[in-house]
Amino acid sequence: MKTLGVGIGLRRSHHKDFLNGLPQVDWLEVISENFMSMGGHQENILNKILENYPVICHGVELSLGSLDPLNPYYLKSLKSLIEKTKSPWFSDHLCFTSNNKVHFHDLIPTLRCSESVDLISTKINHIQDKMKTPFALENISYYVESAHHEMSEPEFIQQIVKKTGCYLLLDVNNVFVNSFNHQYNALEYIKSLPLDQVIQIHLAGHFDRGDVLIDTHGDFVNQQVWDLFSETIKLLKRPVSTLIEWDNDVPEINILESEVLKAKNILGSIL
Amino acid sequence: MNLNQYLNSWENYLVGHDNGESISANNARGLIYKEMVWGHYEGTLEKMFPRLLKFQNFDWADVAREYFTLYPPTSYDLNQLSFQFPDFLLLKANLEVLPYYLYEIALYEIAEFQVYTSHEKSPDGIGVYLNPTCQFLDLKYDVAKMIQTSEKSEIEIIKKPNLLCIARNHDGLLKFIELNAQALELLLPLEDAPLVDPIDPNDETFKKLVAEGIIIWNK
Repeated sequence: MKTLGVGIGLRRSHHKDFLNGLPQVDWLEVISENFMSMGGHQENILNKILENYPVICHGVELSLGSLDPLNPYYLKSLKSLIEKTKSPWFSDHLCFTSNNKVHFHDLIPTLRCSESVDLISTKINHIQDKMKTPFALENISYYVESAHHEMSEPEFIQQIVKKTGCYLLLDVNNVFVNSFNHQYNALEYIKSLPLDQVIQIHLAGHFDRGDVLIDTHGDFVNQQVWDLFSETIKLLKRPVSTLIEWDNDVPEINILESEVLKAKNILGSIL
Repeated sequence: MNLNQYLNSWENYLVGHDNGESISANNARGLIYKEMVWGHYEGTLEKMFPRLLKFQNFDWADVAREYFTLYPPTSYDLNQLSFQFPDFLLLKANLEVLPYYLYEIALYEIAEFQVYTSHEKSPDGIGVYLNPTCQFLDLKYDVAKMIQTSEKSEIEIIKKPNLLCIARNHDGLLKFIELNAQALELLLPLEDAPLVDPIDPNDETFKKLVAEGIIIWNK
């Protein structure tokens, strides 16, 4: 799969920058749900961006870990968006966001058990078949650990990848946040993932509450996360499409451009 | 604990009355999730109904609790979670807990959002069309005027039955117009099918509806 370089997540406060100019980013990631059901201005901005940048669809509501069946209307709408954007792959998270049709609109960690492996793999296989576009699964940040897990997270991911052949969207900040919150070695964690399947990387800022790191996407990428990114690229030994996420207290576009440049310099210095 | 029990325990914790012991020994961390989930629920109401606050000093946290208990958040689309909020306000109005006009303001705000984000495209063939983004509201209060006045920090409650039409014009701007009998007479046939030519292109009402983008006339 062709690598796209370093991009940013499209946020509302930057719409004007993309309508009036060409910010220095290689590509854009859009939150699928923000564009699936909205026309008008949302559609116009997407059309404008598609003239100048590659776009990847990144969803938050597939709810792969839920026992609720996949929503056919959601899939139909997602497929239309993927076709419109010509997204070379699309992604969502290893989590559940709904249960008994109640939507939480947040990423809740699922139970790592063989039943979940089968459930999630069946869903991913169905989705890949329907969408005719490669799917990438993202590791989430989580703050609580269940005593009922049957396996580690890398083992869980490996089993799903084996059953589906799906790609991985490796969120390096999430690994860092989790490694602090659950006291494990972040690099060892990354080494134990099926790295050949990593198609994309997420980088973001987090908030240090003292007792816990919270994945807020509301700050600069932390230096330790940049370091972990460097180590990850050294392990991968190849360029990977990389994305800077900034969702809260979103700064001016030039700040995002400087974070993109920083990621490019790291990639350039290693490869 | 099997997967079903695990998922249900999370649901009971996040939107029910479970204290969270079944999902985590560390309740302070479990609370992070609860706060995020309810932050999204409250945020969607707050963003969808910015004008309501000018007429009623809502505590969104309390309102969200009550609303989402009566109308569970069953949509993957965050915006759609607020679409039944006018019904909730009507319920409150019928119980005489809240004034009826709040229901109509909420209806107006939802209609504005739906018109603004409508996927409907302007027709490009020759003819006279009803703007496909149009929404019609049959109101007991002059909500458009009340909102306009509230933007100047003046709260005025104006009881005046009216039929309001909201549409997105060619430039993507929202337009609203109070419809009179003449306007209705022009619009009703267009609901069924476009006309090749206007009945009377010099009619003042027709010209006004075209100027506001409620009627689209492609020559």
